Amino acid sequence: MSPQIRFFEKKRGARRTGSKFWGTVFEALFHLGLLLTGCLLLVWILVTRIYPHWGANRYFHETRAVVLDRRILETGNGDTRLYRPDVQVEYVVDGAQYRTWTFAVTRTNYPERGLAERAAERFQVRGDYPLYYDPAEPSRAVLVRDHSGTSWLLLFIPGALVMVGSVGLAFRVATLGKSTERRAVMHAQRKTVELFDETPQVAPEWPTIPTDRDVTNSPGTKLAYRLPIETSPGWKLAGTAIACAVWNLATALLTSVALRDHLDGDPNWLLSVLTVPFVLTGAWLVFYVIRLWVNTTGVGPPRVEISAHPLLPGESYSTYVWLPQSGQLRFDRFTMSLVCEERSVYRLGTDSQSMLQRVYQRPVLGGDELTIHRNEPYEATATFTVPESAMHSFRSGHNSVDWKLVLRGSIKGWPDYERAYPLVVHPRRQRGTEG
Amino acid sequence: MKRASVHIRIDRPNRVYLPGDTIAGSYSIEAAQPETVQAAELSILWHTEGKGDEDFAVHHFERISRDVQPDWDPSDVREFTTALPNSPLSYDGIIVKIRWRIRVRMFLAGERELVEDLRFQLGHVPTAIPVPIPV
Repeated sequence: MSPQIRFFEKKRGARRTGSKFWGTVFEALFHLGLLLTGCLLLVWILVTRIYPHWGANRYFHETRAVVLDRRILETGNGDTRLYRPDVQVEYVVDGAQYRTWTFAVTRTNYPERGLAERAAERFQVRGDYPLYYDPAEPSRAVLVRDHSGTSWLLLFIPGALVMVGSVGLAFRVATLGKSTERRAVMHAQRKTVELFDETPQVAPEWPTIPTDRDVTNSPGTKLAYRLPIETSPGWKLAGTAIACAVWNLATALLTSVALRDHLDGDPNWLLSVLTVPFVLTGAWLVFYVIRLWVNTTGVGPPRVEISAHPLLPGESYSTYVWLPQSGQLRFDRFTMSLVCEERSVYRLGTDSQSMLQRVYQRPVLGGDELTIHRNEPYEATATFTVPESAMHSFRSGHNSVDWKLVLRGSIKGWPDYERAYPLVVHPRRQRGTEG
Repeated sequence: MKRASVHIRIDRPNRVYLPGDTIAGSYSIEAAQPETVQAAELSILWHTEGKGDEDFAVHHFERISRDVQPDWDPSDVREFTTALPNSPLSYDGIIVKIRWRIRVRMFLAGERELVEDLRFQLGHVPTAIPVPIPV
């Protein structure tokens, strides 16, 4: 622990050195600044943009006015000039005649003179038009009181500042001087009373172990449950195909510009050289998408079922595999394995990286050549045992231990075929006295 | 000059427990100037170590402070007991490790803190062995 305050912190992943107390104070001040800025902006928009229009629509009385003249007023200087329509009108209220220059209830500026002129041309000189005046001050009148609603949209900006500032400030004040453990307890208690909390991902009696709801809600045809696939290959294919299309469209635009310069006899060699890596990457993406498409659609969707779930260490389970195929298919090697993998997510600078480490793998099925004939689905049943000393499934924010059944096939000339089916392994309920 | 220290003791010398077992122990604070100790927190928690960013959760938490209990003497032995959960078990993986700890955090005058940990084991999961992922 440092006896002195460190104003400049060194960031180490999610951990920081320096004074936590003063760090929280500065963060609280930052959020207070956001909150105050949002409040001031909110008041300014309400006073100058919202209220005048709302007042004109609600309280102003209507009468008729004759247009005497019109003009365009310019404000600003240099390149930043703004143009405002202004119309001179004459009208009578309670026998008294009024003559004034007006247009809308707030100053309506346009970035181009033409736009301001078009707005003013709505009112022809010597024409008779509706006019709205303030009954408390009849000299205050407007020709335009319609409101586009954009002023209301402006409220989103101070609204966002107020929300971020107030939530951030409340959080900093609530956690000021509190230890990480105490904050974690407060956070856990808050989660238990959240009104709109989504379906819990872990069962309360098995902390950090994912629920097996996705498995047990799908009954099997031969065995108790049909296992869901880890990641649908169709989604991966669609995502990669979209990325490939976007990349190659951008590359095509870049290439067309470079080619046009060449055809015009004024080649831009720097642009031409820069285009080459884009074209090569685009070609590789096309090749990758084709491989993925072959991998996804070349083999029918397998069905994997299991006799019981969740799994327990030391227990044996049956599994059933059904693999349809519209045409003949020959795997050089086809296996199903029980696999356990550790997965970590960590921050590297501003990037989020993940790392995978397999810690268990045992074959459950296959291992040899396999030929699936036309319209004769492959079916197989096997038994496997979860090792007695197995670590249970574990999932937290950045780390996990995942069990799964992995189908893997090698087909000559094709990319390897792999499908994974997640499992949930619980620890054995052990009650006893150690030591 | 040693300002303060914490002594944590638990009921099993080998520090190994099974899910559902009750862990019992005590802690005491030794301070040259006991009046400088403002508060103390006892947490029984798990956390991850390894390649990934750290995750942790507190299973049992107790706090004592002079604000709530003005006559608190930090040198008093404070006992604690709690039933341990079913999971997560202690795990010595390759890139994911799960550790259980008893942590006493002491808050001293001047926004200073002192932390003392005592590690214990929940369950019997052997050390993981890496297996290559087929390419």
